[in-house]
Amino acid sequence: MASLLDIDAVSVSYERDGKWVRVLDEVALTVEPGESLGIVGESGSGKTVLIRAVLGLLHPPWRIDSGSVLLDGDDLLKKSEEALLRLRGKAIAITSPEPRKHLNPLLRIGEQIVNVIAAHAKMPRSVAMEQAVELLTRVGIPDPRRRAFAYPHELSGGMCQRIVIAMALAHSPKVILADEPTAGLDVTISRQILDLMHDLVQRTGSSLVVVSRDLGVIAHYCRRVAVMHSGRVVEIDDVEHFFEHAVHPYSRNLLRAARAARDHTRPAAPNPGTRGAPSDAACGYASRCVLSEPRCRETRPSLDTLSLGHLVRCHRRTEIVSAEVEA
Amino acid sequence: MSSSSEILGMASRRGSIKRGLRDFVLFARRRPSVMFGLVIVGVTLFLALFGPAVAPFDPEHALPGAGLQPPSFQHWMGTDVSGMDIFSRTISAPRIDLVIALVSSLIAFAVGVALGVISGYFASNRGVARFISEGIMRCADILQAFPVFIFALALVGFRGPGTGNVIAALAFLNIPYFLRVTRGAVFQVREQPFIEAARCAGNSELRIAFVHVMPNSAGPALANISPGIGFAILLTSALSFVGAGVPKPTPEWGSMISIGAPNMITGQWWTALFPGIFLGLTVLGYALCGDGLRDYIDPMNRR
Repeated sequence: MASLLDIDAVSVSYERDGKWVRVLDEVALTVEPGESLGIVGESGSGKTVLIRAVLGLLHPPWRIDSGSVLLDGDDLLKKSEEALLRLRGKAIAITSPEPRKHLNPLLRIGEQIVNVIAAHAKMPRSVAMEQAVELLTRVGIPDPRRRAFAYPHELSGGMCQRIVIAMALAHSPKVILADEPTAGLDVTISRQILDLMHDLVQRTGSSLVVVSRDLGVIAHYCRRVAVMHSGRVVEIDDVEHFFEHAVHPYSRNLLRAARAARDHTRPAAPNPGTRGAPSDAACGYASRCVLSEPRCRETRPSLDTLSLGHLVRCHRRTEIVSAEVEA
Repeated sequence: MSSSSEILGMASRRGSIKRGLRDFVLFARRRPSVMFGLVIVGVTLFLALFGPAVAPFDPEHALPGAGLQPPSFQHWMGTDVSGMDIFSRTISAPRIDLVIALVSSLIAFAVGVALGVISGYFASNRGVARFISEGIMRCADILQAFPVFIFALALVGFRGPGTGNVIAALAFLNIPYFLRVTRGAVFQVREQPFIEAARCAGNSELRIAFVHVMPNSAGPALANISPGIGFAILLTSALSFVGAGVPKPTPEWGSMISIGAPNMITGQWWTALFPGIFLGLTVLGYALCGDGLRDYIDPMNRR
């Protein structure tokens, strides 16, 4: 079956002081229709850059070196700006880690949703307004007719996120890219927002890509998980399998930290070491990895299949799996 | 960053202009200089509307045989060389001065903000957009390289004196100021997440520039209108003083000073002094009001 979104070997660099620094290194991910994929990784691992690359929003000093992003078989990276305009918001939509900043402070939210609707559908503004109110109802905004006349600063962070979700859903896109949907929200509101998003996405049949630092979020709302580290995908697995059988030392550390947080125990101290840009000649995690060997600093491991749907980028994966070494 | 979001915050409450105005008056109460400016602005606006109506004499009618009378109960500020009542003329002048200043400033504001948005938003692009953006800035540089008054004189001289031509010249000269402050604001606004959000929703760049960036970048230019008006009044008077502005005998401070100047040397001080004081106070008033507006918008100066 052909994937809905097929990100293949995407490499991205940006220019700093005349040198090109690689930020994404041959990132490959697929998203099936109606599927939800979680992307987890520390800050600076390239999650947000990946989203921007998919949407064609990288401009100088950023550069896409290679790769392809196929949406329904069409390569987005080869499309013209005009062609992308017709897709953004219609076939692919995003939500923001900072929903309030995602909204224009000078426009009433009703108008903003109408603008989003009008960007891809010709209709009288009154009809679009009806649709906007309908969308507000769907995302659980109480008293939507009155709220449509509110300005963003009059709404709470959670409400703003609901509105951003409403805007993302306006055209029932094929894929919704949710960049840290729960950043800056408290736990109960996060829960509501995620439930809402999960529910609505299932109803519209969209695929969902959730970028998060919170493994718990991904455990609850995603079918598959991809772990990113210093610009590379280091592990992809089904969520249930991942939580029991993660292989990559970085993934295992993440899981250990998450469990420690849940059990109120002190997490193991992270290994000292630097987190630099990935170099062609090493594993990005080598300097922090307890299992690193000389070859980890000399050659880059490839992303290899361990079992069906489980890919790992580590030289010592087989040893870890057979429990010869403890990661 | 925080100041810009506050500007946006303030402007976003424009839904009630009345409330904004009330807030500003409350703010001015704590600042005597701003209050002073606000009173002057109020008085000039009143005179612009009703000045000729409340004037005791016809400001353009010369009283036969009453030339160069010193201030008296009948003529509070005396009469000029042709026997026109100076008080009546002085309070009638805002109608012409203020209209010229307001209209020219508003035109300069509108054009300056629009050009500022274009030049700021497309500054980092390549190709045609970049060419246009740079072109606008170089034109502004050229315009501002000339001494303002000489340039205004040349423009009016080219088209001939008259209210319309003075407005056009002043508007043209003021555009670069509004353009530059707007361009600066655009640099900040265009990096805001909601601009990228608009892009992600499938809006075209031109639409983003004018629907999302422009309203959010107009704040600083808005605060510049008030001192701009004071500046325009001064220039209008200067043009009239040298005979290139509003034709006589239309009551206008600059031309009144110009008519009265020779009399001052021979001891009839009242002919030029009173319009001079009014002119000075008005420019001061608008400048103070502009300072107040700027502080009012800047949250760092607001308690």
